[in-house]
Amino acid sequence: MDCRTFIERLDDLISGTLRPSERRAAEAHRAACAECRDLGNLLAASPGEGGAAAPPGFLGGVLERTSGGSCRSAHRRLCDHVDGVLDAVDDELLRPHLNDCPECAGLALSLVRMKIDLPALAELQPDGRFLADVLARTTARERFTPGWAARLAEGWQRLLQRPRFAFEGAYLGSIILVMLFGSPTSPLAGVPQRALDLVRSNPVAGLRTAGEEVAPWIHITVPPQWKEKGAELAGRTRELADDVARRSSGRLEELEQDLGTLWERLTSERATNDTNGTATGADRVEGEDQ
Amino acid sequence: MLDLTTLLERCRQGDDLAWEALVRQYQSRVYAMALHYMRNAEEARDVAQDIFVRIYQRLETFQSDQAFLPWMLRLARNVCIDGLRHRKARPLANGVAIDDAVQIASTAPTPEQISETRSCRDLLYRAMDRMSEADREILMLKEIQGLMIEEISSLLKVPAGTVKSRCNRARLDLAERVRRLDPSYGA
Repeated sequence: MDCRTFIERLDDLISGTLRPSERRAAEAHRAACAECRDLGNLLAASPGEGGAAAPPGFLGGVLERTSGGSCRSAHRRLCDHVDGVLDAVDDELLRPHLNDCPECAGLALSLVRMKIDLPALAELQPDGRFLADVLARTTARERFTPGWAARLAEGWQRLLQRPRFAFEGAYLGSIILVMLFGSPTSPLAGVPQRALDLVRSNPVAGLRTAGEEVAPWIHITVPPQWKEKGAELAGRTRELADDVARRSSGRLEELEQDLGTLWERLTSERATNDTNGTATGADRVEGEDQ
Repeated sequence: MLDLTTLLERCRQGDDLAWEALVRQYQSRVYAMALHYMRNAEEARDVAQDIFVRIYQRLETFQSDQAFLPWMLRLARNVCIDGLRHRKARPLANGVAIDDAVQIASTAPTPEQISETRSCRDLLYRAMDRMSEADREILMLKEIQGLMIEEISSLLKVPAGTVKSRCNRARLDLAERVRRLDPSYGA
């Protein structure tokens, strides 16, 4: 084996994957060639044996200048590592990092502890009255499903209590206004513009002009109609008065006759009473004297 | 103890004792969940009661072939969110720190263990208080209540992969926060 072949096979020689015949040839060449022996010894030496041990911080320096550090990558795998669901390759990559990085190792330990502590927070004991209060609020009520009206009322109540309800109402109102007036195809699209035009065109003057246009027509049309209606009304009133007079005159005559008869009877009876009264008074005076 | 299927069946038949047993069995869990959302013991108590009232009203809609816990936690979450909305409309006058009166439902045998459990709980709560609501919620559903990723995915209506990645991110975030508060945690 020559030097070139030896160097080509050196990695396999060190890792022990060389075939036996080639291994024997390589060992023989190493024994014979001082340069290849030194090279073989240099590469085969492990750091622990005083070979090429990296100085402290070497790895960190390299990573800083290349990938920027692997802690973020380790963080992504930490939870799965703690849960035991990280696949074998990732786990093998992560372990050496955890051995060398105290920050990530501490984080991993915290995650392990949290895995124990957090489930303990799932149950917290309320005070002693809690059960009694719940039972009072449930078993005394109507069983299970409330009526649809109650559920509707409850839902509406919840909807009203939402803090965003006012905003949503305003939003909905704006949409309706836009649909009614804002879009070119909406039914009342021209109304705002017409209203604006009207306001800008001095509406008082517009009304006056309109009034001046209408007033002559009113003057021409209304008085004859009023006269006609007034005459008709006066005729009807007269007819009504005549009718009332006609109906009441007969009755008045009857009443006058009845009143005359009654008056005569009253006066005659009074005269009779006066005569009798005078006689009786004279008798009483005479008796007293006696 | 009665198995859950029998208990639920009895509840649906109107057995008040079965209902009491169900409340007794799940009150700690429901209360813990309410506390995680409301961050205030008094409010959590009221909301937890509301949760049970809602469960009581909806028990007939529960299908026997589905899992009870996710169903219950879904209802509980909805009630808690309603409670939070209500609170946003009328904010609390004081802070939202979790009350010291809350007791963990574990039965720690010695005073030292009780003290350690309490300090550990306080540390976790303090760390979680600084997290976003979304991260806290996913931690609560996955790591605390122990729901499966698929169940959380269905509950939150997000893909399972998103749930997993968000949960891992939240766990790391919590671990970092806890270590900032107490560097010896987990050591």
